[in-house]
Amino acid sequence: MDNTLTLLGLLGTRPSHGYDLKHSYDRYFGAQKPLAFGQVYATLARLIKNGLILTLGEESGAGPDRKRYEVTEAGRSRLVEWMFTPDIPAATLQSNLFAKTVIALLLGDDAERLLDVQRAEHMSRMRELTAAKRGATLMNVLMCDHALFHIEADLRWIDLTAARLNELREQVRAA
Amino acid sequence: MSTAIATTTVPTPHTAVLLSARGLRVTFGHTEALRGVDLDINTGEVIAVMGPSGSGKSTLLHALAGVIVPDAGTVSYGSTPAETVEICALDETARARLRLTDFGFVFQFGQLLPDLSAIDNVSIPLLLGGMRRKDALRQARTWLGRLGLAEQANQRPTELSGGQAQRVAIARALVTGPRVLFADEPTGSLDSLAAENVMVLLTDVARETGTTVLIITHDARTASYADREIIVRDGRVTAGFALSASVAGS
Amino acid sequence: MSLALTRLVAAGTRGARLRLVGIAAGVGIGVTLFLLLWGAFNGLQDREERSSWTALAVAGDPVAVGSTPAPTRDTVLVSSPTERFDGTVITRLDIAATSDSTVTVPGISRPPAAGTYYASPALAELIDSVPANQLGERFGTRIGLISDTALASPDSLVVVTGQPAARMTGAVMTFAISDFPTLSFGGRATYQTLAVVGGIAILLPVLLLVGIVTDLGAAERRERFATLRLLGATPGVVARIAMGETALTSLTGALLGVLLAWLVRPLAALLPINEGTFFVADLAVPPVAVIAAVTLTVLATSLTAGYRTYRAGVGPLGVTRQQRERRPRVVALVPLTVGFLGMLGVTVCTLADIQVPLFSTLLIGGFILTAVGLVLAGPYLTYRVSRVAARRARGAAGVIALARITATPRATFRAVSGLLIALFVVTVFTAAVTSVDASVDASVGPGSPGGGEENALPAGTLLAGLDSTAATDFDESRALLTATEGVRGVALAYSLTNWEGVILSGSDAATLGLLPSGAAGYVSIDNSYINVRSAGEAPPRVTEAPTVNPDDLEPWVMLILTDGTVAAQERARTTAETGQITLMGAPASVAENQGGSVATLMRGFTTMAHLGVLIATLISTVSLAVSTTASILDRRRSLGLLRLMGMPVPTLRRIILGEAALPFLTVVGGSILLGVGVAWSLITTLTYGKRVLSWPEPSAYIVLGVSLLLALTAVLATFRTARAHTAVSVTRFE
Repeated sequence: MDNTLTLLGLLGTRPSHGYDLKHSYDRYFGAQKPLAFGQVYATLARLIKNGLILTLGEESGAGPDRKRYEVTEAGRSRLVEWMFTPDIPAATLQSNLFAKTVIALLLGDDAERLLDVQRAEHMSRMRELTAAKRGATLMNVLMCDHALFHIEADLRWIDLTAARLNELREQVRAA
Repeated sequence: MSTAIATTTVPTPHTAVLLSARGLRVTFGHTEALRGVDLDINTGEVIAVMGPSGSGKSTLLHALAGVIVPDAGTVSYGSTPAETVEICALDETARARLRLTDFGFVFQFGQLLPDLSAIDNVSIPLLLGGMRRKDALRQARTWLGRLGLAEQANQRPTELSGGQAQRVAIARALVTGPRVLFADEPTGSLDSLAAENVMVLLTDVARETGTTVLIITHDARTASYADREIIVRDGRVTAGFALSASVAGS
Repeated sequence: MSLALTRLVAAGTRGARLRLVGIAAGVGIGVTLFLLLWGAFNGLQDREERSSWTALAVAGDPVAVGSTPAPTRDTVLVSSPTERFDGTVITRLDIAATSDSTVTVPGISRPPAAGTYYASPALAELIDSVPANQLGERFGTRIGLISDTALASPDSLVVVTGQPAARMTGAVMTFAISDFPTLSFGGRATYQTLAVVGGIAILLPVLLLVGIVTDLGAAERRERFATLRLLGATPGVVARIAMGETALTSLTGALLGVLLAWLVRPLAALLPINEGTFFVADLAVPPVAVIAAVTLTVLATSLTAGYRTYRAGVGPLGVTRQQRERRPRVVALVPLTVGFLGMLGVTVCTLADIQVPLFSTLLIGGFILTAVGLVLAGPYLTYRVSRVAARRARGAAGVIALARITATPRATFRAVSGLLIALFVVTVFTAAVTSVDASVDASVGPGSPGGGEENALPAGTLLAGLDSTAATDFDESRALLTATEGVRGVALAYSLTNWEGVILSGSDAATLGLLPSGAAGYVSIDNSYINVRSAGEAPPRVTEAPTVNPDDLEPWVMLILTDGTVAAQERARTTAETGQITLMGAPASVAENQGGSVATLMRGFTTMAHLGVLIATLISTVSLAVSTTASILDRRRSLGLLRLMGMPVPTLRRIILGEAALPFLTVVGGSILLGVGVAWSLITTLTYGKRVLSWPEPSAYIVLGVSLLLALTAVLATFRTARAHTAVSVTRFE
């Protein structure tokens, strides 16, 4: 899961303080492993350096931190690129895909298309593996099958999520 | 390994469109099963049709095969302008004849007549086409052999395993030399290995004979035998787009 | 738990409820018909007992001919001369009694005084509907009606006339009795045999219908039972559910059947069987019998259902593997063979004059075995034929239909078994009924409407048998008859000892048109002149008889020439009977004389036969439609998918037709031949070889044709259902 882009995505919903950002992150994604404040500020600094966000100036706020951050145009297109670039199917994929979906829903973007794109990518990978099985040794066939079943598990998750997208949208929005 | 695979799976370019649907709409009572489907299927393509239950997959297959007439839209069939027919414009008799001669069908289960032996089941489409029984049986035997069922020729469907029964069904679908094979959940009742064997046979034979195949399936692994997949959701075809197109569009 | 579960399984869907309605209806019709037939059978016995008093032959020895005993206070003189009106026989009892007679006459109490009569209501009505000189005058003055308690049927034509003792000359068998017979004649085994056979013939198709209906929707039910088994129900529980379901349904059906039988009794009583219509009360069935019938029906159907379900061995995965029928075996032919050979054996023994004990029971048993055997043998024959045909089938329809028949010969045969039984019964009855007409060749012989025959008795001539012992002056009767309107002439035929033939005076021969007018002397003519001639027999010869001594002549028959109208003949009869001459019963035409008592044997059952044919054919038609539909429904997915593949609808129709036609055609010839054989056996045995069969009347072929048409209609009617149930919309949601 790409924390940098996830924080960028969260910031895309509305300009906010680093403190609020950390709490949003924890609420959505940090159930098992909350983000450290240090990590948040380091990430924000890197994003500013890359021109993906900018500071909105200081004002009095609730927390110790007075800076508010906002996503730039460049930041937005980076987000879109991230969201609609399918990941290589891998064991670590799901959390990233999950993050993408939630962000897409938060941004009111087309989460369904995101899933479709990912599905197409998965399918094309499966086709490759299935084709590779033709005439292969049993060892290789079983290796391909191992990969196929893992991808299939992702695909099932994609299908299930696609089917419950509306429900998910409601919950994400309400959170 | 992955790079090697990538090079082998570049789909061969299909030039001639064989089946083409435009603006298909089908309504059952108050339910809209298809709400405007556009689709082109090329000659020799193997296509997987995926989508949630009740999304209109079977209805799409039925409309494309001329089993039902859509409430709106057209289905053209034929690879050259001269031989192209408007399936929706044909009457029931002509559509039945077209299905018999040009299309083959495989279903999830229950398609074989329980009273008939495997070979008789396979010969039925030929007999329906008016072939002499002797010739029909000979041809049916050849096809059973091709699908590895030579020994089961005289067994009844109840004496066959699920995978064998599906292979008999495939033999029956292909025995007339159809140009399009429609398969509705052909592996739906089979275990992984049996499903795999059926799919290997089906796609091998289809590619050898240049048969265009449309497979409805829930199963991603079954679908992975296809050249590409299309996704039906809420009566619309929503996928089938290439990866690059979607990224470029954003 | 069982009741709720049974309800859930049995009446869960519309199809399941329809099935229950079908079973109840089938059972109901069966019970109704059974009770009516049982009632009719009882009724036949009741009416026989009631009318037994007119069968004088069992009353003892008749008084000697020529003696003139006088009635006493406690005996009466009774005779029962033949009486006729317009082709119908009237039961007539002439009684001479003293005025203080203590003898009771059934239905009347006191014997009528001379010159008066009692008539049955039906006869009284008939008498009142025609001029007195055609009928009423024959009996005298009516003083009352015979009560129903002494009548077989509301239609019975019975008259009891009072006669002076002097008229009771013994020309007609006369008895001096003090009590009228109360025991039935006993010679009616024939009627009872035929009645039982007819009843079985009607009941068999009903049983088949119930069998077919209870097996309706078997495939769907197997599925439900399989689900129950999957949920943990034991085979016993499933069988009990099937039993409970059938028991409740058939109990409902049976009770409705009882109600229906009670309601249609007045209607059924109107059916003339044997001697006429029934008194409604005759058709009543004792309550004990009703209860027994209902109990037996419910027990039989529910036990069968339970047994069938148990035997079917529905497993938790019952539907995935289709049950295959047991292959029919040669043993199936045994009952048919035994039954038919048994009947033939009884007949052959009878013809060879060997006494067979209980022959009517044997005949009934043989008939039942033959009919049931036909149903049992059918599947085996169908199976053999379909196996041969399956190898030679050409088209798709043929291959599919024949494979189906080979796999399920019992089910496919059951569809047409009712029809075949109907056909068998039709053949038995039509063949048996024809036997009546067969021996009287109406086209040849005296009185035939065709005329033209050389030396034939003129049409419309009545023959009045004369009592040769009574020396009477015939001239007065002759004059009276000649003066009767519509009578063209009267001739007196004499008999002569040692002389073959009938002697006529020359003038009488001229009256009859045998000689030119003005002829004198005597002529002789062959006996066949006044008898029935068999086909091919030469016409009677007329020869002169110059040597006859008029003193040797005995008056034998008075020939009354009429214009052939009913009115004229009846007037002539009335005049002849009321005149001075003593007759041996009412004057009658040759045909009437010949018809006599045996003619009515099968005639009386014609209505029953027609009814049986109607019921059997209708029920079989329904059965055929029901089971044809069921066989399509059982395969609707595979046939539906075949249609989706492009199988044209006509092929589907050919499959349905083929599956009905093959078992039918396999057995149709056999059942017709068997029917003829059984009819021959029945008729020959029951009439001791006096009657033979001939070709059935055209109406029989019409009945056959109509039955076949109905069957075809039944099959055609299923086409729509078949088409609808194999449409795409049906296969898509399974």
